[in-house]
Amino acid sequence: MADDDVLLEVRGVSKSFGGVHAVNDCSFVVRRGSLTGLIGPNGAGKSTTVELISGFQPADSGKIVFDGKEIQRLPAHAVSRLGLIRTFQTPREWKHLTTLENVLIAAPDHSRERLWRSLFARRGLAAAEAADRARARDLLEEFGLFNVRNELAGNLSGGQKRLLEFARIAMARPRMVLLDEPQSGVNPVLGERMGDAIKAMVADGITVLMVEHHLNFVERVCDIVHVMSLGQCIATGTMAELRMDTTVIDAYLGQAEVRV
Amino acid sequence: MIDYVVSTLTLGAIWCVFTYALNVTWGWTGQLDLAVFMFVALGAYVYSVVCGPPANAALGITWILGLRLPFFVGLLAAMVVTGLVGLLVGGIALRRLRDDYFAITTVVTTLTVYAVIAQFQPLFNGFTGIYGVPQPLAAFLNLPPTLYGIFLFGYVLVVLAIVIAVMYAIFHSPYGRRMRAVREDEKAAAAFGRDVYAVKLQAYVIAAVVAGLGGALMGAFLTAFNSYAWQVGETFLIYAAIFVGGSGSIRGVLLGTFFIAVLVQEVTRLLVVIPGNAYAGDALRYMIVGLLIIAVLWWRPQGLIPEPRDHDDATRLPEPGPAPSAVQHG
Repeated sequence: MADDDVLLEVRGVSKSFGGVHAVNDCSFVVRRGSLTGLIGPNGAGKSTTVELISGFQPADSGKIVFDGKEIQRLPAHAVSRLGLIRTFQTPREWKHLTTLENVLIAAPDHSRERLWRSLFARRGLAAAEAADRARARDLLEEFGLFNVRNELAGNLSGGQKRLLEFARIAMARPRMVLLDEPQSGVNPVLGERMGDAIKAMVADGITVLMVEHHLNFVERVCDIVHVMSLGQCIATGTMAELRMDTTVIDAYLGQAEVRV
Repeated sequence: MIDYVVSTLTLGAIWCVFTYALNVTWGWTGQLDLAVFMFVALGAYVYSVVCGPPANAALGITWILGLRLPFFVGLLAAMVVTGLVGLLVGGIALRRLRDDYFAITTVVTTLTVYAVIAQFQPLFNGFTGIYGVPQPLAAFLNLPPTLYGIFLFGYVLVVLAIVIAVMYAIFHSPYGRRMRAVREDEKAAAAFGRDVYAVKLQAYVIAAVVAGLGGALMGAFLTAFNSYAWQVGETFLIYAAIFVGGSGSIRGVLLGTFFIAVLVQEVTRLLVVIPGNAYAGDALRYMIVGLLIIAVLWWRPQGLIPEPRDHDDATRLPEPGPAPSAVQHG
């Protein structure tokens, strides 16, 4: 499948840890502008897939193509600079930096981070950063974090850290985001707010691939959903279609408490 | 008395340069670098052989070079050599190793370099080391010792002031912020496009260069340098200075160094010498330093003067409407 419509393609990707085939010949595509879900029982290989796509782990074999470019050999920072940014299951804020600094670092322009500029061209630095600072303040206001902008990020509450994560992504303006269980450890009210934030991202033209266990939430926000089991993508469709799919129901068997 | 005070303060100011070097690796990028004093020693050796006299092979005294060049050439040479060694050591040690493995590699590198320098006489004259290194501008100024001591203190202070200015410039810049982001969370830094290896390696080289500069000052101050002047223990004194003063904090490092390397060092020197135990003073000194580290980590883990944080003082008018609430209605 090579049409322009596809932003990310995972093609026959495998990854083993010792004798465990965490991801085993997994293939799926994510369409440009979509909000795609990635679900599956525990141990299906969803999080490993996120690690492989984002370059945090090297794939053993297979290809990962982002916007026409093969990225399976790129390190994490290089993948990120192409505009493909991931989140983590637990928020990873920079604890001893302020909330505002956390958002500032997410800005896509890294050209000010040169040693010679900090030593010999200081005058221009503050002015060059003014626009980013203004935008960071706007985003913090949008996410209700403006009043804690000078607080160390490590002192924020769990919910505020989640919101900060979204503010950082909004600051980074990526082309695509990999969300790794954004709803884990989040109360229902905040969950609603994050659902809105995710939809707002998609409305801004950011493609989203979201790993999530809360299937009702997935059904509410995702256009299309891939199901993983035993390291492979076994089905694709809307949640309504997948609920009828016997392979999917089988994959979730043994996890009887999960009603697919 | 004045000679004693001036030389103590001069040495303290030189130690501050060492501590600023370690503050870049440990304080700002979170690398447990145990090789910092190796770079100090290399800086001192390089300065000594560039500015010092040639060796006398006929008397069995051997060291390389001995060029008698002016002091600023020695400073530059020391920084270039330590920078290159830092690039090599950091380039290898930081590539794949994390935290404690990195620390082990740096300490082993230090011990190896120490053994080579001490045993391989043609390089820096082995255990005996290099001596007879002229002091900066001493022949030109031709001052009486007390006045020259004050001049040397001023010279060290000027170099220290430049180092502090560079440290401020780095800390209060996006470059310094990126270092701290790597220190706080490497994975998140990589997720937002930072090459963690490059950031750490650059910090490592900066630290090596600054440590080499401090070593060059040390060589000029002592006029002689040998392997008794540096041991692995010295590195822990620098860590003590950083912990007590405040990791990452430029003012804290200054305070911590004077506290540990000047006050504690000099006060313990005055302790009664226990008869029959010449090393009791040294042992006691390390015990006091150890207790100080524990005390600071217990009661004030961020140090006496913590790392300052960014403050954004832009003010905004509150949005009209009801106060924001976590509870959604309707």
